[in-house]
Amino acid sequence: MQCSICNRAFDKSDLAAGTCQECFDVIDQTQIQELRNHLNLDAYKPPEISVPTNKDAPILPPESKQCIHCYADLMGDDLEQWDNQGTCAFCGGSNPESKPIPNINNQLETPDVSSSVASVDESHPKCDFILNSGNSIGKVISLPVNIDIGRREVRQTISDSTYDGEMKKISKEHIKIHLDEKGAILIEDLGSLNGTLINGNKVVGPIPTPLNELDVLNLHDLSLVLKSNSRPLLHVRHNQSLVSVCKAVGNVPFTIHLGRHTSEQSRESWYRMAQLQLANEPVKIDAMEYISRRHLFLELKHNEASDISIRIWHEDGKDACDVLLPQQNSVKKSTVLSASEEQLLSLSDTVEIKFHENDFTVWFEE
Amino acid sequence: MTKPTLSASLIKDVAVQDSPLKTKGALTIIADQQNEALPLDLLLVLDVSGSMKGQGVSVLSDSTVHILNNLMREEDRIAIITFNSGASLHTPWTNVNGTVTPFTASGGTNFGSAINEVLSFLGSHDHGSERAGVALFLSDGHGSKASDDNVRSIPDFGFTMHTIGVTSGANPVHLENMAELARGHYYDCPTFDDVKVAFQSIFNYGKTIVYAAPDLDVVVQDGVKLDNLVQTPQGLSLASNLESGSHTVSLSHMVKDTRMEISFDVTVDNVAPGKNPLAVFTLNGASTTLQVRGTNDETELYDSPVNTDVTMIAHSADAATAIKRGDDVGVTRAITKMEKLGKTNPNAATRTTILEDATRAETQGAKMDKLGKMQSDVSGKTTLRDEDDDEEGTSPVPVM
Repeated sequence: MQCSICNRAFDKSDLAAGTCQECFDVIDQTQIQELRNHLNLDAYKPPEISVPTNKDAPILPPESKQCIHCYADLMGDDLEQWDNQGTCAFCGGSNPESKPIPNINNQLETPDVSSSVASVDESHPKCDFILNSGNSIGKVISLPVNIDIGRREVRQTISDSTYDGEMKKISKEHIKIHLDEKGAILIEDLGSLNGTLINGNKVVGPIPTPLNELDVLNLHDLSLVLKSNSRPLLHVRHNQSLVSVCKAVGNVPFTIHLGRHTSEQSRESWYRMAQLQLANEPVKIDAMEYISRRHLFLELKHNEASDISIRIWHEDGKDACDVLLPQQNSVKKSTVLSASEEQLLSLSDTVEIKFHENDFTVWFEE
Repeated sequence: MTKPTLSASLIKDVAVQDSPLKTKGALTIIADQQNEALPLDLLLVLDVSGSMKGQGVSVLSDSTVHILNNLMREEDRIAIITFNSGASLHTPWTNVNGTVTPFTASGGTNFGSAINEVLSFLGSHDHGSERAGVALFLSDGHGSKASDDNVRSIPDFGFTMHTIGVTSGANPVHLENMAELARGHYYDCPTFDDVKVAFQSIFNYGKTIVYAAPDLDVVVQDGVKLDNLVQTPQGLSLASNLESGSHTVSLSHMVKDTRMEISFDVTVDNVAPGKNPLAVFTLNGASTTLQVRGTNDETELYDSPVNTDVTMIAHSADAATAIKRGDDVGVTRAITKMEKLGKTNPNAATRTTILEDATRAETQGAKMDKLGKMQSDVSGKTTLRDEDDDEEGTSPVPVM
């Protein structure tokens, strides 16, 4: 295998440097993989994640499966979607082994997407979204169904001028929200210049794409989450960058991690799972350097007693974080929080997490 | 003045110890977000040779009046030098309340005397470091060449110079080269009707300058060489062959809310075990050290991640310089590499789309105009100047 510019025969020194050791040419990712094969090196594997163990209540890594199309590791809601709806949350690919999609007769078992639509007026129903970026993050806005939506319509619902930058990237006719007879919401991109994304996947073509509750809809930079009326929402915000995530808390425990995003190809699935989607909001903050890619884990579950149980743990060997839980009203180091110990929170509680120069606020919304 | 943030990295931060190394690096500079834009001194250097008669001079008058009446702030100033076979000061520094007498056109085109007049004018007027200086050099013809050294010394006065080529009579390659030497960009105006927009664009750019033509100090360690320093995404060639020792590199103006990126080749004679400082970059009181860590742990060497930001900047420099050279094979090669990188680095995907768009422009002048308008925001996302405030969501920023 040789350099396409200077014909140098590549060896291990070129692989180690990532550049041709004759002409400085950068070896791209595809070539690196070929070069590894050529040099009889194993395929690159990301380092294994160490999960803290506790003899009394060993914590197992979250259950996961890998998408057969994009190889993303699917966990929590994504895994649920893969098993039940038969689609990958990342690439949209189908799961050949999924359970049949419930038909109209057992509609009660399907996610209640219709509950997210506030039908103010039968002829002009509206659809509720939560702002997932910018100054007014967490604010609920309503967008009309079945009419062309562009910058003007969005601007009418978000009067905050700090969104001017996002507005400029929205076309005059950007999307149309469709409501089908089962009450499901679908999104059509009206040929917008800068595009529409659902969970990071571009919406293309004239056939509308389904939008499930809590899916993230992006009109280029403007990020919205389809509101659910049935489950409380978890918000986690990185206070320096104001990047935040919003996720529903169900009665099945799910784990999220706080971590720095990575865009290395081999860690694609990790970065997609990074709950702070700094890849989509690439705010470069030096302090982020101290955060590992999967640093602090939070496991949440919505209890019937309408409170939330939360467990917080920490990857071995990582820097400790200060966690301020409301009940104790005192700061605890994440390393001394027992991973097996459930903390009960009410929906009005907030948790503050601080490490190095980063702080995160965790709160809920009914 | 508050300090900027500097950051320097290599493609990989580890290297084989006790071995030589050839790699690429990148320096990024972000101005402090609190910095206010400086007052602007705009020096118009206008071609009033015979070919500018009629529509040419009337457009120049219109465009200048537009700046005076509509764009200038209280604190800004403009001055005008006109040139044909010779050059003279047409209007000394004047503020928003000043007036400009009409232009008359005749004679040949002598770039050399125009640049001499610029230097003598800038040399005789104290401009002060707290003002941003922008010269705008407009011509519609092939002029007798100015000395490269003279053009290169314009940034010494705290000024950068943009060039505007009007009509097909202009020589875009020559004018772009002048702009590059004076740390500015080339603007392409296929017709006289495009001149006013170019004036407005240059003025609006000038109003956002936070550091005026700053000097970058580079201290290169023994046994290390930096070469091919190129500012991206515009592809501005800054310096080459920096051997061990101290060097000063003059940069273009730093504009608010942007990130300045500089790509370079790094040669290290021998990487020692452990930390190896390679070069120290200093700008406006802020410093950063470029370093590499030598190791012989094979797993670490082969599995250590590639810095995709540095890679993007390196590909971007290759693509922009190839566009300027008219080297289509080089352009395709660099863009293909960047496209692959774009699958994992959204900023690279955005930049690929904009670069591809630039390569599709019909003339060499239009290609270089597009390149000059490219800029990187503080997060590394590429945008095109002037095109984010039009109506209709027309900003050509693709989705990530």
